[in-house]
Amino acid sequence: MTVCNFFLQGRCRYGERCWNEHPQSGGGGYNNNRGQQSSSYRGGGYGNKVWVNPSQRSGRDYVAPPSFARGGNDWGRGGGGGGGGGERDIKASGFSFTAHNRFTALDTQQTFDHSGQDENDKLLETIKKDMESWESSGQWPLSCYSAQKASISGFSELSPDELRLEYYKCRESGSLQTYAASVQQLFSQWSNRVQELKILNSDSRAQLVSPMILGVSSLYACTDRNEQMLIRFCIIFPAGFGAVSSDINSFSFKASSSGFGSADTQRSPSGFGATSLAPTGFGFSDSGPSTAPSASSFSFAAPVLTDKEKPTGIGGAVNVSEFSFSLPSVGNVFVSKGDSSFAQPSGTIGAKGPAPTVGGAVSMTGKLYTPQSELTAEELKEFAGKRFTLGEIPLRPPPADMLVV
Amino acid sequence: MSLFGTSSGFGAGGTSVFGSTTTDSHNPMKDVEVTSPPDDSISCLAFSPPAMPGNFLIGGSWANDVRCWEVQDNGQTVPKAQQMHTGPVLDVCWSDDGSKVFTASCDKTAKMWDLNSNQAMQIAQHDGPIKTIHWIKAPNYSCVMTGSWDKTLKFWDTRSPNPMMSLQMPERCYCADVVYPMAVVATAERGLIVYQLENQPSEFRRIDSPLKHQHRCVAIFKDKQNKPTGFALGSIEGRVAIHYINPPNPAKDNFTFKCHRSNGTNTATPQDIYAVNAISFHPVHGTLATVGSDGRFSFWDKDARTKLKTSEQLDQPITACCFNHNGNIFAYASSYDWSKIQNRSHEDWEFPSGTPVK
Repeated sequence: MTVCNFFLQGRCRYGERCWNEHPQSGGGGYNNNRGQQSSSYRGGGYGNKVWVNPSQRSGRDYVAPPSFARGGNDWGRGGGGGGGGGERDIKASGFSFTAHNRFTALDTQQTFDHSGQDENDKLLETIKKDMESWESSGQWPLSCYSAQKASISGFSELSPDELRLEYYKCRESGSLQTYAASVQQLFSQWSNRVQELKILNSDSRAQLVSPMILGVSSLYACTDRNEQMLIRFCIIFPAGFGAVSSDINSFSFKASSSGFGSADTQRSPSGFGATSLAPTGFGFSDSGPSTAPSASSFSFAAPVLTDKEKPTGIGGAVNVSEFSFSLPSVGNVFVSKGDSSFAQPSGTIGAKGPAPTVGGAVSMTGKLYTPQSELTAEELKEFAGKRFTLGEIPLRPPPADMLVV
Repeated sequence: MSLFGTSSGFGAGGTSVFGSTTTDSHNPMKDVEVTSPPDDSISCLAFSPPAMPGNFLIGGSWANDVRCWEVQDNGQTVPKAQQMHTGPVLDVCWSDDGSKVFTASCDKTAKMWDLNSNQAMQIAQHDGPIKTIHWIKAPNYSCVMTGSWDKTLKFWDTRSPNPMMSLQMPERCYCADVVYPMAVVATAERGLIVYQLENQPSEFRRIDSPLKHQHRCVAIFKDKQNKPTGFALGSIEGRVAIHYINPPNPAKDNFTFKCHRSNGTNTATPQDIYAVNAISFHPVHGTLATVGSDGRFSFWDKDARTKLKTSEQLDQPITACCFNHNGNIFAYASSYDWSKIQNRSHEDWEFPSGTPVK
């Protein structure tokens, strides 16, 4: 028997009386996992109501316009939905593999696109519990952490042996106080970050979650940051820690906390001190400057991903709050500034409010701010608004006085 | 000069003599204590391979030295020899014929110690402290593999000052293990790479870490045909992951288990979580031993997924462990592992021996 096309779309008017085959495999198990969610937003596209209650199918013509419409909205959001909508139109090729497999594939695609749905909530609950147990258990604080595939940024990774070696070196050079101060600083940054993760609000959630959903590992972005931090760790000792006199110092622990909610204030030029030090790339989910080209090339891969996804929720993920001036030829630069919990203290950088992904390539002119007189009226309007409108995002940085923290 | 409290190496007797009701927490298991232990924490232990008659134990320490003891059949230990580095020694290993010992140190060099002549010569150089060192014996080549905090993995022919091969890693090497033809390296930022060593070392696969926190130790296990088939990975979070390289059913075969935690079953009160400092597999039975910062060691059966035995708590963390070649002797080292960066009561922090910061 041929598989009923309308049934697959959820529109078969004959129901059980249909002469074509209505495949049930995968529907049962599928249903068990997704019973609640599927009714809310999977939409009618896949016979949603049928899967939820297979028993109701019998003898009833199934038409589900309301859920279908809602499904339509879902697809309108693009991304995985686009995949789903596209499938609907496939007639012959849709049966190249069994319907059962196709659904499960789409299922994963759709969950891929969730933001603020059940899995994310569970994930955030896990993170919160992990943070609580990390704090109370006395386990080693200077470790990375991850809830899913990707590491959560903001944790500096140092092994006990590395720290011990630093101690031994300091002991030889007689600068134990600096060692003590730096450890104290590392420790307080860690506990700040843990506090942040425990008290997640919805905005920071989206930012946390989306990079993880994209499955991007921050390993490649973080590596140079850590290395830099370690190097700074050694170099700073003669100068003394806690002194904000050098740019180097502002990097070391700024890097370790990625500028997220860090207790230290960093001087506003510090981020741009970076430009004189090295070409500043930016990691995917942190704003630490990194010197190696590999990190920056990695971060430019990230925008490619995000462009395909729907703009909401993921735009916030690319949390770059510094401009890169020495990489003018490379594609996208993100102007978005993160949510308050990820705010970089040097608030003069970055646009105000969450900004969705930049639509197209932005070329940096090498200037920090554009004077108001130079901007066109549209650009001014964009900067003045709460959010950028897609397609009209200014290509030049805003004037300094428009940046309000 | 032991600024950090005493540190001592222990050698355990063969059949387990688990402690009775004494309150001696220095050696609660009543195991044989090795004579003239190093002056500072012991970072690594290694027993001689089967090619050598007798049991010789090598231990590297943070006092920049490597010491060799002979462990006799009655359990007594006799110190035999010692070599020095200019920095703390982080890892040691034996060559397959038991004539040479390779030592890796924070002074960015690795040395080859010829036991017969008691001479040590440098065979490797890195840009950062060398964290792991292993001897690879392949049919068509043999070399020393060193993993370092400079993010490289280098392979050395001991006769040449230049590495035979140098592989770049994504992050600093934290631990590694080699059982020909497989090598596993765990790096910082939860990196995990498997290398295959046949013909010449090459990267085989990068694995998503099954653990959420920093990797601390790794050990390869073998299947019934004595071929390496997977590894056990320990983290600072009191958890060990058992991971097979090509399992028939990954979701079911790979698993993690919690260990080295206080009040294990009572989940109401927050438990203390300790790092797993070392993992070692029994060469014959395939059971694994884990030692942790809580000062205990435990034996586990990974196939039955059960815990076999846990020791009493020692007064110091256990930093290293090792089985001898036939599994009759289990050696573990009790010394401070720098795990108490914070005072657990969060009042203030100080060096754990109570010495205030000057």
